[in-house]
Amino acid sequence: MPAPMIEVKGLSKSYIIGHGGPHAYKRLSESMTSWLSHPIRTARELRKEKELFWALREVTFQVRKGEIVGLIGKNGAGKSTVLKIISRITYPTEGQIKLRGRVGSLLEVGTGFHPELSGRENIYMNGAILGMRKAEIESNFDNIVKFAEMEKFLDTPVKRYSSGMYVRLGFAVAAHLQPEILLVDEVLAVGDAQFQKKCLGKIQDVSQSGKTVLFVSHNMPVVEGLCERALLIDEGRLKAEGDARDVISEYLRILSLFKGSDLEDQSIKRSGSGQVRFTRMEVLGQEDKPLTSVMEGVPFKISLRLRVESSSEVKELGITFVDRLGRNVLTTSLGDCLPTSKLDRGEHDLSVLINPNPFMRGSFTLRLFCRGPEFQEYDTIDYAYNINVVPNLDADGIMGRKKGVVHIPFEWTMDRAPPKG
Amino acid sequence: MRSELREVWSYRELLFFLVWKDLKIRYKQTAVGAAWAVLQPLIAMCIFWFIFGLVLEIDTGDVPYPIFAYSGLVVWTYFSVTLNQASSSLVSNQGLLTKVYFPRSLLPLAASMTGLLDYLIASAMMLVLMLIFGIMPTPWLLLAFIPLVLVFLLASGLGLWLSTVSTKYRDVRFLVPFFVQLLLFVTPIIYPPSYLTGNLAWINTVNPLAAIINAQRAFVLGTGITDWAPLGYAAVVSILIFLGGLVYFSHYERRLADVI
Repeated sequence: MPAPMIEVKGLSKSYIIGHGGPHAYKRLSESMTSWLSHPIRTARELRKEKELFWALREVTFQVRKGEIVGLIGKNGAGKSTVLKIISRITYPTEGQIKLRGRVGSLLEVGTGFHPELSGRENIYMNGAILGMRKAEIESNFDNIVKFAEMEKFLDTPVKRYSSGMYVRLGFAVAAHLQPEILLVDEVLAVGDAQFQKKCLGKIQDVSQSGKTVLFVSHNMPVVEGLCERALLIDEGRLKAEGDARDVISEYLRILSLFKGSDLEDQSIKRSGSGQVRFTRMEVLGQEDKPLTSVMEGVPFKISLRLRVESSSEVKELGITFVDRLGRNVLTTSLGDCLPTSKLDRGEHDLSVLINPNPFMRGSFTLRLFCRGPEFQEYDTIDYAYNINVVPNLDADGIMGRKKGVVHIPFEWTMDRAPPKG
Repeated sequence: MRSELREVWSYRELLFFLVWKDLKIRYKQTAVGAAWAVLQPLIAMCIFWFIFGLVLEIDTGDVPYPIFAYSGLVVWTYFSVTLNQASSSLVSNQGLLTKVYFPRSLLPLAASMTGLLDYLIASAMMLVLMLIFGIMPTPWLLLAFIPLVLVFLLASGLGLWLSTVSTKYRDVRFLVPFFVQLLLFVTPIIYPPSYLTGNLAWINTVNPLAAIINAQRAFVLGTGITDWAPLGYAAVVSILIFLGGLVYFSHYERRLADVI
């Protein structure tokens, strides 16, 4: 088997977190005066164990020739750091990288564009910055212009371009880079749908021509459509590697791991007498495993803990699911199942099973409320929890999508219509 | 340092493009465009002509004061513009530094090279002024490239140092203009070197820019020089500052994107 194009071994990257320590960004005079006024303290602080943040920890992987590999993970997991290290923008604290070919990195569309320069001039400038030779830019010039669809505006300064034109031109230049290894960071999050499709097609072409692509994205359908293999980075470590579909499922699982939510936190905004208070809530999956996100069509349970200060009669106690637009999508309350209940002083646990789970992918805010028989407010928390509903890959594939906010089981029937009399 | 130079060489096309871009945008939306290359030292010359030539009547020997001042101001303008641009080049190109790789020293180096065109245009104006005042160039003029090379090495060397320092301490941006202004007054630019005597003579000896400007004047105005020691000293200092700047830069380069 030929040697891999990208070989990353034991890659770690740490940053010093400065909270006014001697390494923090400061003015020259400040660091001088701190040396003059407290030479011993400053020296001691310098020697003291620095507070380190490990953006990456012992990441090891390989990418073979002709592969498109997706790099996925949460925001801040370290994906972009990996790309930045491979493209030599920043250097690793530990570890080694071997690259067997010319690297082109595309971390941003239109890097180095200058607003005062014309489209034509910026093609040259941007091409040179991305590492193209002048001759290369010249021989590709017509293709770039054609790809960007902007023959007419070539001699207009870029500052007069619409943002769409700007992005098209930027991608067009980048698409004509001829590196053996291409690093791409989420650039497809821009442009209209048609242009995005064109860009994806281009990336696919690139890899079919034997080039190697490492591709960072949050867009799971795109990763699944484009990549055979994927890498999952979480908290700076490589958590999973392999078949793109499996790695995406693992990513969605990680997204949903959570320990429950403390509702006694001072920062939570609530109203009501507090005679009865919510103190804790959790979203639970199968076998009562805690979750932060639930899967479309998979039932889940919400458990609540209440603290009752003095025995009280509770008339309405429940949960409202509010969607991103602020619409109340669904409300369920204890009264649905149990009549008015009297609660003794102390702590009580409640739970509600949501089966079937009607929610479609998206994010919902949970509002908790508890009122007495005269509708006196005991406790209301408008933003008690945020729940993510993620697509169910096993059921209908990541590309399959029903429209709507909720979905419930339906029974359709079809019969031949009786012949007209 | 060798590898740094090799990297710069392999990216020479980008260096060319960076210089070309700076030149393109430098005089955009100005009414007189590249004429500013001549106007800057010319206006400065007129101001100093008034103060030192007419009011204070400084003695510049056989050379008329305007010619005397202009010949020094051409070099100083290049030095001052270059040092300002080069020292801020990394900070003002943060967007590039954090998004794409290229040898980072290209940025301060491009800033130093951009000013060379202005230098040449302003020097052409120098010849015109000389003809107006009836001074004929002599074969000494052929040596005028020496001070040019030295001031380039000195300015870009300092630019390499200061650009890295300013990524950590933005104070540099405020300090450089004062430093440059100080140099204008302690260097025999607007007055002849003979004014720095006695207790002040050492300034002439120590300041490499003084020897460079004296040599420039001697070569251009055709008086020539007999004592080469000051120019030799300036050459050694300029080359050391430039090489030191490259070494320091290549050492610091790896941390740039994290510090800036």
